[in-house]
Amino acid sequence: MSLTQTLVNSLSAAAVYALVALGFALIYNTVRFFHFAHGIVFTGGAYFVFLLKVWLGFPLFFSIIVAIGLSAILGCLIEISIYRRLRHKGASSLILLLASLGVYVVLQNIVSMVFGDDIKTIRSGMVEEGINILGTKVTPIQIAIIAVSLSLLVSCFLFLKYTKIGQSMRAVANDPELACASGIESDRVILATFALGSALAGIAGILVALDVDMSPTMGMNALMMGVVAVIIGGVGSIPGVALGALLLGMAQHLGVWKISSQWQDAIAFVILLIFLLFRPQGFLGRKIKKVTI
Amino acid sequence: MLNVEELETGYGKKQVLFGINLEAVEGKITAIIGPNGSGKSTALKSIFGLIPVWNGNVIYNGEPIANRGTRANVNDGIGFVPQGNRVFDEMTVLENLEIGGLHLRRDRFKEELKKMWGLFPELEKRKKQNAGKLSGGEKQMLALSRALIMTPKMLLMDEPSLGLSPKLVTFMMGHIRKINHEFGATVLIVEQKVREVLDLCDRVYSIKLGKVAFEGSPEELQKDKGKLKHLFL
Ligand SMILES: Nc1ncnc2c1ncn2[C@@H]1O[C@H](COP(=O)(O)OP(=O)(O)O)[C@@H](O)[C@H]1O
Ligand SMILES: [Mg+2]
Repeated sequence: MSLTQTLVNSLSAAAVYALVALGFALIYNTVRFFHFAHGIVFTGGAYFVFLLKVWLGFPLFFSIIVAIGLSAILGCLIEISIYRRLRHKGASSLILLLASLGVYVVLQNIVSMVFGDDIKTIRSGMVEEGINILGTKVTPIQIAIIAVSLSLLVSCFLFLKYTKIGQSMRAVANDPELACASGIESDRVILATFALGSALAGIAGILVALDVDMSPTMGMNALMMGVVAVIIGGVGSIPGVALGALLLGMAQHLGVWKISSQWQDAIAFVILLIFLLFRPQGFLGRKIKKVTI
Repeated sequence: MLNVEELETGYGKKQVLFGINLEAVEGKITAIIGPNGSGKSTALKSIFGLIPVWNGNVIYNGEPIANRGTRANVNDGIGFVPQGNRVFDEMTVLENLEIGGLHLRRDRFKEELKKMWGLFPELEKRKKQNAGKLSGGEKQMLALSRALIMTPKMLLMDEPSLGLSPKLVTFMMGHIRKINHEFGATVLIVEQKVREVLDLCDRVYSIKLGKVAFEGSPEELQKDKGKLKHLFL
């Protein structure tokens, strides 16, 4: 494989990691626990498209749009039915994390039961012809992944900076009590964050399915890579998350350039361990503080 | 304006307040003093709805407002400045004020913003800076402006002088008086700097071990130093 080909592959991998990581980080920042069920929302995005397009016969584009909405709704339902209740009972972050693992397992099993464990595709009828760029074959879906991811990163950045709801999300992430003292209803902001983060996860899942098909376990791997990217980049900054994803994608693909691609996950986790040991706040991260009014 | 009746609250199973009664009269400055850990902050937080009221009433303009949520209180003209120079330290000065005025229309917000810059010109010079980079005094100015931007009719303040130099304490107290006079805000202030706050307030309550231990005019305490000392033992 040529170097440019490897670079393109690592960019498109990084683009997916960045989307998963961004949604994960947005949610983490407002609720302060690892929302593992984010992985199943990713899977959900892909299977919603499969359901709509293959089983129900809707056109691909329509199916994708509806599936993104359904992913957002799925995330919100998890928040309302499980996390919010636990939060109001004063559950600790550890309890919430365990609950999120439970939600992940249950929902993944439901996906298996409904759709089966075999690999499913939504790619039939798509143009697969690669485009030649600098002697490298780039598929249209790879270009789409990179373009969609980049534009979503930029949009989210602007959204958080300039809209009222985006500012409220940052306020709740920065200091939940002070946000409440300012008259912000954190439950509403958290719900909006789940909607946004879950839509991003759904989009990432759909993009991956369009690239390499789907299986019920696809979300766990994507989530792991997203979490690694967040930890490398440092939670709490979109440029950090993007940088973390880029570094991870590069390291994985350049690292296995000349060896078997089975080593990709090992590389990711070695990087994770290095960061946890030597720079737990990530590249552009902040120290997490705890204060009360 | 604000009446608190037999207020009981706490954290988890631990009760902190055991039936507090107090009144903040319209247009006046009412102070709450008392030793550390006696429940002053807890009283303000439960009045404002940051923590639940277990028992008793909070009456604002004749309406019960206990446990109705902070958003309703903010929109109803109650502002809260928490203890400890709290600002959104990862957001800019201007963004802090935008959060304070989140529920205002854009043109109204701009008007109010001008008033804040007039009140604290230092803040305007630093409006693009991260609030985390401000000095303690500037943070307190920002914390106060964040609440003031909604032009509250009732302002709850928790130790606005905490951690400030004596000069800044005087400056803050002067501004609180100004807010009371010029903005017409009724003030309920928790303060440890007793001498300064007794000069400022019209009425004073002392909380000790979760109960009101004294209620009266500031002059009474200024004259009787022994009584004042007793309240802090
Ligand atoms: N978040 C909290 N969780 C549990 N206990 C608290 C909390 N905040 C305050 N307390 C306890 O409540 C009591 C009153 O505290 P507080 O109202 O902050 O006192 P003050 O403001 O008068 O110094 C203290 O015993 C304190 O330890
Ligand atoms: Mg206090």
